[in-house]
Amino acid sequence: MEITPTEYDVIVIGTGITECIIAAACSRIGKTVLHLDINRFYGEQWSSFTLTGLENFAKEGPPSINSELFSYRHFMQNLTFKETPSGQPSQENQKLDQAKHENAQKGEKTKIQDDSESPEQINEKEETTTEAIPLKPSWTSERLQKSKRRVNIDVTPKLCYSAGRMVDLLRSSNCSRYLEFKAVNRSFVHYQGELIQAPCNREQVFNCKHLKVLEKRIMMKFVTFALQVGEESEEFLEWDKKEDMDLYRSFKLTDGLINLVRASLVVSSKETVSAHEVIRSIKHYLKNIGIYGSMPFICPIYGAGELPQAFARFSAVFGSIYVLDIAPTELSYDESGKFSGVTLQTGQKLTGKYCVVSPNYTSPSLPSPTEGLVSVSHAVYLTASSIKPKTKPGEQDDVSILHILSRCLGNPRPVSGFEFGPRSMLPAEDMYMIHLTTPGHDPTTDLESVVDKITDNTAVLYKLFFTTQMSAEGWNVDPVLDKNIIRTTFPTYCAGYSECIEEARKSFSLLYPDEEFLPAAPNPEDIKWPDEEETEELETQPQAGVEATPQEEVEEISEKLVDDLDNGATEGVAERGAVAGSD
Amino acid sequence: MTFNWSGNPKKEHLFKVLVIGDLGVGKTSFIKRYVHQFFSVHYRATIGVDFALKVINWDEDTLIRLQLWDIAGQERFGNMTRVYYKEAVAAMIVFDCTRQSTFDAILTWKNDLDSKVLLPNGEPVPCLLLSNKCDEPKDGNLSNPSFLDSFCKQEGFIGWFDTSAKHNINVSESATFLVKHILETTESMNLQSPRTDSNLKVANGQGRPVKEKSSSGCCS
Repeated sequence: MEITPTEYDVIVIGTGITECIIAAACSRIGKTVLHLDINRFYGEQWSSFTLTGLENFAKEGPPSINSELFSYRHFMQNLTFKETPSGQPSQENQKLDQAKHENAQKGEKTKIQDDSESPEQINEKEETTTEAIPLKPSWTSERLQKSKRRVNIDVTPKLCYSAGRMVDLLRSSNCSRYLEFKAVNRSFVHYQGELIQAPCNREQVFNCKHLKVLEKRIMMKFVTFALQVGEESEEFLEWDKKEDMDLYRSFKLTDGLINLVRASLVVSSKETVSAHEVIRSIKHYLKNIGIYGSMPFICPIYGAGELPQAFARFSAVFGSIYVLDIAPTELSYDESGKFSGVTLQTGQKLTGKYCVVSPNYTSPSLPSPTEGLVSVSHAVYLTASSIKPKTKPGEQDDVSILHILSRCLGNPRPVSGFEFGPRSMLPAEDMYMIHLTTPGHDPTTDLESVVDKITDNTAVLYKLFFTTQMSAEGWNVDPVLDKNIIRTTFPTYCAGYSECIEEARKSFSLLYPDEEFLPAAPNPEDIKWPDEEETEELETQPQAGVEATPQEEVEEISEKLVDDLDNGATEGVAERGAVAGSD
Repeated sequence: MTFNWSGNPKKEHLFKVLVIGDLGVGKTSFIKRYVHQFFSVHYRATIGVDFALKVINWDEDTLIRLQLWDIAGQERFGNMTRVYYKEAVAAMIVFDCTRQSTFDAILTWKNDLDSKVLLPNGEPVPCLLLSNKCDEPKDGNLSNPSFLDSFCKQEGFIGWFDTSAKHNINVSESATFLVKHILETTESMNLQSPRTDSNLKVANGQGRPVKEKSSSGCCS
């Protein structure tokens, strides 16, 4: 497989979201981009796997580079599968179960740490689960097996703030056309021994059964202060360098309220948060509410792995060449010590002016980033029903935030994550998925007992555990261009995407300081295709294919826009509005 | 909203159709011929364009907006993103009948397609096979219609056409055949998935949220 051409402006290695955004930005301004990945799929630690894909992936083992000069550190460790079979297995089922146990065993081979659990012990555990809660008759092993390719598991579960930087970038670049979202509908906090709906807005605070009237008043007073206080004002500045507890105490928040505020409004994975961070976090939270619903977040359907793919598609549409399943074996440098190209496992040498490398690739001259990292344990459970079944008509359960404070349920660190309903397209039909994370190195020990406790009212169909490397929240991502190479970092352990977008934007301006970052892509419906005479001209100006929308089309579009508004239809209005405005 | 003569609103369908196949088999030429009625010998990869739109007045009551999604020739090693395949209701797999190797690649494309997208009812996406450049001498048994007939039957294609984008042979005929098939499929079952009926789009423009019905399947 020969790759042509052999010369590029930018060679990007790794297809995480930061790399995909950089590739898209470079190709958008007409730079030639070659984008490589050692894996057979897009996204690395930003990808979503189907369960089938993940099981196969575990069987095959992580990819490796046959080179002394370059190595690949895999982004998922300690992968463990535990399947819970249904009732009395038929003979057919037993065969399936046998196969699954083999899978599970093979899966364990990819673990770096030793696991003391033998397959027999796993079996025991499975039986316990089955005895406690018999599976709904609709969930058989066969059905689970068939559904596995419809389950999408995020390696790094994250949400987009409704008015956050990811949504802004998707809008301004038009990359949004590749994606659809669900609004996050609910938020639960483990509070005084049970999971309760976290009061996230005024109405919920007043309706919260778990708060006394006085507590409700205190809470509202506190939240109103945080919302209204200006960051220049003395009232704000006096909280400089103070702890969050000082702030809470000064507003007379009870211990219970402090827990609720910490778990719901202050979106942070850090163990200690400053008073200023609390105020900023609440402001940010409230600013994002009411745009797509009562919660400040949305999440892409089919999983977070859609995001890097959307930018990769965008990048490819603007001419980037994508080659997956290929290992780079060496980076080469010119006499002045600057990056000059890459050698592939096929022996082919390609030249490039700049290189962007994901953190999973390391070489002696390109050591792995070590500072500011945190190991994160993940537990993913597939269940037959929601752990908080809907109680009110009209209630949606597409995506729920779950927050378990530290020292609840016997775990020392805070556990947080999500429950995804079937309409989010992450679990298969009739299925729910819980994905919880906590800082730690041993996911089974860190999370299994906690997740078992919160899922004791539903049938668990499947358990999956793994760890990933992440950047600690608050770690300042500041890319550098060294020897014409930019090294990207691990995902930040927090809810949104602002860090990686900031990283991509900064990286791009290091490469091309005078160019615009991801200007809007034209709407395909407005593109006048060039006729033959124009083709020549196009050879030198690839962007010239985008012509101004002819007058009559604009009129037609405007008419439609008015029509739609008259009909009260909102569908596609914003898109068409942009079209009319672009003329 | 468009109206027909009798004053009833026209049924509008939006169909996403994928055009896939190896480099240089004539995907872009086929699309240009069909949508814009011209053919250019200057082959060039498509830059900055996701899909070409063909608006078809199918009959008095039906308007079809057919989006033909080119594979962005650059994704030439078959490493398609899932966002490309997503929500497609049909596909055309194109090969160059003068080059056996492009025919050999068909099943790789078909497998990739079937592994990354299904119709909302769980069925594979209907797929039409196009034997392009049929005006030129054919390679091996690619000139044998009964071979292609049985190949289609065996591999689950809905049919095949000899086409030539250059000489405008069977271009609109094959597209019409596919659209007919899509309409029959969508009528015989409800493609609208209940799971995706309230998806959000974050569209560019006035900066306000746009609630949009899913474009999955049909019936927008």
